[in-house]
Amino acid sequence: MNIFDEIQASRPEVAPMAIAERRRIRESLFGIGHEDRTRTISGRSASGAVVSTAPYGTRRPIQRRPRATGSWARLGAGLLLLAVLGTAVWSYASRDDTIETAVTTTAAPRTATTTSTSTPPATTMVPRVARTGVDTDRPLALPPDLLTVDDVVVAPAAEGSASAVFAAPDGTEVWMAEFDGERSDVSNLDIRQVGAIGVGVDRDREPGDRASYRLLVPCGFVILNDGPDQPFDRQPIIDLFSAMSIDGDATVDVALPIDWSVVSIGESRTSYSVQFQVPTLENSDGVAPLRITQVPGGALAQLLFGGRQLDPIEFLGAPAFLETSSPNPSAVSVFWRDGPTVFHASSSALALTDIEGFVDTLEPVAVDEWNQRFPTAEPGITAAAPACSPQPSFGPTLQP
Amino acid sequence: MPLTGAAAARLYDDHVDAVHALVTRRVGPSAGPGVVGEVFEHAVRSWDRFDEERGSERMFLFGAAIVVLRRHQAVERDHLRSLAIRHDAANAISIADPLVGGAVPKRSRPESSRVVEDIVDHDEPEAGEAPAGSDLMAAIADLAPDDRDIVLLSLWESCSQAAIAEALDLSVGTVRSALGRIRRQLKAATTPEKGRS
Repeated sequence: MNIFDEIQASRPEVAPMAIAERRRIRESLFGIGHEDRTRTISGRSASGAVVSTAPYGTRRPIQRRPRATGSWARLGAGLLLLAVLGTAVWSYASRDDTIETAVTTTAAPRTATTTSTSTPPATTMVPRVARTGVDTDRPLALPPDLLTVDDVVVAPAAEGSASAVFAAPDGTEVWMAEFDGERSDVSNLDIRQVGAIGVGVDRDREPGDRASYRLLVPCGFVILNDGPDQPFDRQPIIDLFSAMSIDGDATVDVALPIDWSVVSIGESRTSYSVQFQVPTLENSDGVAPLRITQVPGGALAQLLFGGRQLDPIEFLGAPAFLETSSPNPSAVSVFWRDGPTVFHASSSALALTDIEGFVDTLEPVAVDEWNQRFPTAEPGITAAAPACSPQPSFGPTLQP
Repeated sequence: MPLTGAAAARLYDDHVDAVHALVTRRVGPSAGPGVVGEVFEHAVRSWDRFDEERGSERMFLFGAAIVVLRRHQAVERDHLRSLAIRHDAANAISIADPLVGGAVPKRSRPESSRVVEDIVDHDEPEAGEAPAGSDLMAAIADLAPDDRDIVLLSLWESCSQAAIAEALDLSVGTVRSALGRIRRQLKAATTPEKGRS
């Protein structure tokens, strides 16, 4: 064998990139969810499962809601007019006094009225999305202004928990999660075998209940929720179950059927949530609640707890998702990723453009800075690890 | 102007497997994914240099990979030295040599391998000249980066000489002559009388 034969024979075989890794890189480079409706990649994972990584977004992006009358730009314009008129300046200065400071006073106050809605740049997306500017050192984002805060919730990561969101062939988001826990109680379930796994459904389910399934594992539980208004046991879900396996270590894996794709997979991470009172001219009191939840190092699947339904949109010039399944028709709920952090902003009183205007003002902060600003937020209670074994986990195909 | 939006995502979706394979062969599976991200970031940022009339997206990305791999030369050399060539005589194969051409691909040849194009060097291999694999990999690791890129693009990624020239912004003649020189260099480095001390 000559020397080039030898080199060629030594060519290392490389397994396809793990699905979760592929998506992680894709999201870190290009953000979540692209308006790419034509591409589907299939490959064989290290576990041998055939997986699909079709980028999310098989439907056309929705149009933005009409700009609300209380937008940031109008607020700014109104103030400018009032400034010109002179006497009204005093009136608006008095309104600022009603914007109470948050739970800390360390940050220099800056009137929210100085912000304005930014127009998305001509280039709608850059490889690394700036948006809030968060990074691994400063993975959280907060407004520089001290606003009234209704509540602050820091939810520690659920140890041993992970979640995934799949897109069914019809575009429905299907949510699956595994949680550690004690011995599984299946006494209230109707159980049958589907393919290689046992599947249970609530014996007392009512017509109209969400199609929710339990995958049988010895400890803890694994749940899969179909989209709202979907019937139990529809064929795509049966196909998905038939493609799943659960081994003796309670490891759940799936060889995704054709036309299914992964939207997001990730382990549970600590989430940080604040409801601000955001200034607006829309309401008579001049403010409206807006909740922002952030999960550094987290996955969109964690924020979609239970199985929210999404439509891809552009948000501050980059891909994001708008929830379409909220029971409150006036609520606007938007999800996106910036760098290492996934975000969820929701309000029942603000339009999407108003939320964009507010998010545009956010500045990256470190976790320490967050804790300094909201010092009582994080609970220190840690639950004891369950004694039952084996605890459920996601297999190689579903590893974040 | 960087490549943006769905076009950038499409580029990633279409070529990530090929780039991942190239990079992982060069720096190993632990460093591979991170380097893949760097490659695509570099590629989309320098997209204005891509001329679709002159070359393929794949080779543009391979060129980007080569640029990025230069940042990880130490990792690459360590990885290459750690590779041991499987030296199973029973499965010995005769694979087309880019400098010989016309060799018949056998069952172990990667499916993606291309038929070799040019006959430049008729130096047929001689019985017993195959060097020990670990020595060979060490010799590859010690090659000048440009030479290592050429030989591994040719033999591991099954790139034609024209494609290598495109990726590395060289002339085909340069690639051809480099392959001949590299082969002599590797042979010298791994032949017991000359290369081993």
